[in-house]
Amino acid sequence: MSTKIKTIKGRGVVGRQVKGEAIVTKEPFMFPHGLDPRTGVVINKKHELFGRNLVGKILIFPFAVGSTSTATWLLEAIRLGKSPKALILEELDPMLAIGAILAEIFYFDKSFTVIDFPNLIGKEDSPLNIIKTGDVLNISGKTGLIKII
Amino acid sequence: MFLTNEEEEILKGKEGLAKKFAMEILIKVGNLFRAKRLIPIKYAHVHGHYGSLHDAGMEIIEKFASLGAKYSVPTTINPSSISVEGTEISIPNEYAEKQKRLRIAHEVMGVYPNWSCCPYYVVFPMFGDCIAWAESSAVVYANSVIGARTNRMSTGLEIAASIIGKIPEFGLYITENRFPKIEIEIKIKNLYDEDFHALGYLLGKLCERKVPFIKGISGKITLDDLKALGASAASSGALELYHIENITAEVKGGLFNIKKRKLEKKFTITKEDLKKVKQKISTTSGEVNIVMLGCPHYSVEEMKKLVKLIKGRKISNNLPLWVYTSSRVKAICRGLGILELLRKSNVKVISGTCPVISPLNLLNIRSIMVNSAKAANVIPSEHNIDVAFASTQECVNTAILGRRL
Repeated sequence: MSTKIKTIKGRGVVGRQVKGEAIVTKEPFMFPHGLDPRTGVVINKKHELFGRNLVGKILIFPFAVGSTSTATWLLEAIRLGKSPKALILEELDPMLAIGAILAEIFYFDKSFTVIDFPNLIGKEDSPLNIIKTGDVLNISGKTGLIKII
Repeated sequence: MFLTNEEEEILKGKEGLAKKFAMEILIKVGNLFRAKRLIPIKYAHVHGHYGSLHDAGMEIIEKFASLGAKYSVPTTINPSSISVEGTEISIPNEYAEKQKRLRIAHEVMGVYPNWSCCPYYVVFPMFGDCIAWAESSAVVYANSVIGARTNRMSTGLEIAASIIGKIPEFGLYITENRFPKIEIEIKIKNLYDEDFHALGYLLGKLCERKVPFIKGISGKITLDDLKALGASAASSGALELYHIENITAEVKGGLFNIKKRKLEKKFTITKEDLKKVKQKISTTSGEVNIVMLGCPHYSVEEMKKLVKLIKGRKISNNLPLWVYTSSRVKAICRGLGILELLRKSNVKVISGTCPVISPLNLLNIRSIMVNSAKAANVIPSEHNIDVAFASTQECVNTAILGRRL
């Protein structure tokens, strides 16, 4: 059944309507020392996405790990235009939330978008199990709506 | 989230753009984490080191300062990426300039320039006080040892909170969330300094995000031991609060009745477990190039202990020993004559920065010996340098001998 789902509704955290290609990982993602803000490449050797360039992609992952500098590592990548275009995750923590909120207030022109799924953590119909790497998505940071095109 | 008339006015910009932005941040976070209202805070502790704030963090803090923002509650600051002395690492001009811009922006807003991860040596929150502290080791200390209340703040939230003097009420500001969820039993007779680091490291891994109730710790336990335990647990697993039977603030203060709490699974920790953890924390068992103490920043008591361990001997010329603290503690040590004794023993006392956030990669070293599980946890990924974790005694002996035993 899950393969037929074309639209998923999450919670719009920040951002607007954007379109992009999905990269899905079921491993938690670490921004500090995990994503190089100058290149947008994953530099955490322990992560399955090591070496992948995330610039302009829509990153889908369960939750973020890492220190209190999560927000500024992410922000620096956004400032330089080297971040994923959007994040879709199950569980948003306050560290990542602040990064997203600061991006919306101070780097509004970058239209960075975040959608989370607080009600689907670990569940079968979580976007982690529905969206596949390579899918093209049209998503809205306002309504939380995700369309798989 | 409910807003008072005054808060609504600030959000509309009636008190200027800086407060409007700060209020927007608080309200957005509050709504995302389902806070019902904003509550007043007594203190704030902010981040100010260029090493992990990058240009983005610097620009935002400068933006607030240039809009005329002022900290409305006593606000301390975490270590800088550059020491007060400024002599131990040769810092490139561009980096130094950006750290200076951050310092000026914070000072314009009225920060207390303590530049330390231990704000509790400068300001004194009391049991039950709500505060907004960044720095994970200070957060766990405030919650557990003092019984004050704070969530772990990320850069931006603590600044907004200090500007407004309020924080959204969620997480550990709510009494029920402070109750213990899992029980940990310690089956070890005597715990020494490195044991508290290792124990903390293990706790962080075991507890995930659940508040632990720790039983079975006997014997003398100092504030420095609790500081080490919390710092390690916050680093290895983001722990924000722990309770220890008969010891920590809320157990003694009677916030909950442990007999009435239904605790989840019980973990038992033995001497053997700690031994395994100690081995796991190190990334090298080979030679080291330098010894670094003071993560978290050393207290006056730890400085005294260091003098006792050195016993007037001299640190070897080829294996330096550096100890990190705040300029406040350094000044007290100067008054006590401790600084002079350490100087005679060739110990370098560095203030206002720390091994975790200063650019150690510029030192051209391959490995560091530390007595801190937090430092050992962070340094390899932060600076791409190997670490050897050891007791303070072993750290001192290694530096005196000039090589590992």
